[in-house]
Amino acid sequence: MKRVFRYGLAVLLLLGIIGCEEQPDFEYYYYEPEDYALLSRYLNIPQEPIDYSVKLPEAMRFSGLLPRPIDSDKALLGRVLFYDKHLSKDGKISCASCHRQDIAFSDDKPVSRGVFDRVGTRNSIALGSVFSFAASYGTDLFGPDGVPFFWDNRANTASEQNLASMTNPVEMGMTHTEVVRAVRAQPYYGPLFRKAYGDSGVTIERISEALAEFVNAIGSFQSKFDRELIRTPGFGSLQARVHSDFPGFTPEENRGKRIFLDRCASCHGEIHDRPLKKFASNGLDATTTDKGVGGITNLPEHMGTFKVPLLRNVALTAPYMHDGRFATLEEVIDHYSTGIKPHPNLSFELRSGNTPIRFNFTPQQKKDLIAYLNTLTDLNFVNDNRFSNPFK
Amino acid sequence: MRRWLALSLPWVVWCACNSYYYAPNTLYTPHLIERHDAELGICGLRGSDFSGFEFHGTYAFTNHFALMANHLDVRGRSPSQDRRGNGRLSEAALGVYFPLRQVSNTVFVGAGTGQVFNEFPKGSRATLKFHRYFGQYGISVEQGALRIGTGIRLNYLHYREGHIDYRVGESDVSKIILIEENSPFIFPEFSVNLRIGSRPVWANLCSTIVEHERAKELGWATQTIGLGLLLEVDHFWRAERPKK
Repeated sequence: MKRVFRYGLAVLLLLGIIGCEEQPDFEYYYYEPEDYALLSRYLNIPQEPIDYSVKLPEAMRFSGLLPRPIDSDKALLGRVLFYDKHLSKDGKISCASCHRQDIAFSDDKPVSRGVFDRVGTRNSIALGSVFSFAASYGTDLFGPDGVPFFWDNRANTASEQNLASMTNPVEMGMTHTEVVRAVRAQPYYGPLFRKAYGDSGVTIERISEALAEFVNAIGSFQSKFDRELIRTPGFGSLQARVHSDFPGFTPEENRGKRIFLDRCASCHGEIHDRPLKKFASNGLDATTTDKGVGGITNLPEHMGTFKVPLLRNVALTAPYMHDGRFATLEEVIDHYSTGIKPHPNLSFELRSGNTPIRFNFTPQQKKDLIAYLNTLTDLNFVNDNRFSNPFK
Repeated sequence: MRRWLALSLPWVVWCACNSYYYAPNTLYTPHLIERHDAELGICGLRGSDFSGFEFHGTYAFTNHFALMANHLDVRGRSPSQDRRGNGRLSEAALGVYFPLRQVSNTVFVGAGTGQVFNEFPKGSRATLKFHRYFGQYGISVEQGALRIGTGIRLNYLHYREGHIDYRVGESDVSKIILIEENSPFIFPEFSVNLRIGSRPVWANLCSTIVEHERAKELGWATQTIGLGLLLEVDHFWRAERPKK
């Protein structure tokens, strides 16, 4: 009896212990506390992970425009590198100096200024002119369908592009070794590299890859044009729907769209997904002043030709053209209206025989066209905190 | 029926990279007949994506009361080597036993503590710590050189602490949130022990399965199989077991 009592007592004791169990105490974290404390001294980034995956609207996915997957840890590291002025020779220039988020990652100067105020030769390309950087740019994955980088299309991948900019003497002016040394010297990179790569080893390949991952996460697909394109009823592809009037557009915007589809889309693309020509001469000058693509290929028929850019957020990315010669969209439209020069390699869409075409837009048509181009502005994108300057 | 059939089948399935947040240790059914009977076992253990070892010990300190201690240590690694994990469980129990000719009936209640640790690519980790309380009934029958044991264990599993890196991935974070929201868990486990040998050494084959309808959603291993040796250590201080 005594034993049974003892045994019963033990069971009761166990039940008592079970009864005293506390609620689960689960802690979900992204950074180790000491890492986050260190990062917080320099950076404004949340404790939670940031999702950089490109989530295109379903309708856009149907059209076959699929971005490559994004590694969010590498993209965050790339974002910090993108905004870090330590990566330049004079410590005053970062990638973001010439690619400002508020103007769709473009520059408001005709030609960009690099280290020691050195003046470049071309206008900074707007990274935010594409619906998805990762789905548009890069010939490594997309082959002939991928769009190369720079105005003269001389780089095939985002990594090639960013390495060229870091080492360009009038842009950031560094050597690979100096870039690696500069990154190693900053304490906040240790945790970021560990997150991205599992260890804190800094190499130029990792730096370049992380930068590429960040820009590959960039994409603008929430403009008024996109919303209308998706919600406009119709069968078939987006390319088919774009020819209907959009119910949410003003009459001016719809007229502008029709003009664009009629006059401009044969090069820039109807739904602004990818340009239909990789490069062309649009008759800015009668003779070649900048060889452009021809300077890379040395082919006479490429002389004076340049990348055909996509036009998303175009209203934000003045000045325009490869040399930033036009300060406003009105000037651009005036050029196509009456100013095209008879360059030997002038694109056939802009010529009739050997004579440049004159579109002769009326003042109302110019207004309509500008109204339409304004619908390509994506304020969600330019205000997206995931792409903003992380430095305090 | 299928459950019981599964217990008797060799079970070596090597599936791709799962991460587990619970794995059952062997439900050990000692063969206790009288005071000072003592068993010590070591067992190699295997689950679907992991393997390890465990120790068991029982000691009958009176004619009807006994103590039991178990320790489990398992480790696993994905075929691509980019994910790994380990788990530990240590527990002690107090029990009673009722011998009846060649049959030993045992009932134990006990408590233990353990943790599971999973590491994912790029060093992201999830660590869960838990307490487990249990009550078990086992029956062991000896016939010549053969001992067969079977048992049922009722567990009260309480995850008390977790440290989870978000980067372990959506799938694992979902499992862990489910664990956090539903802890504690009360569920049974069943086992079969097959021993071949004679005093004092027995080869021991054992299999234990978890019975919980959401086991897979929770990231639990539902079955382990073990092969080991059992030593009746009382043999060394008692020349011969007196006949009952």
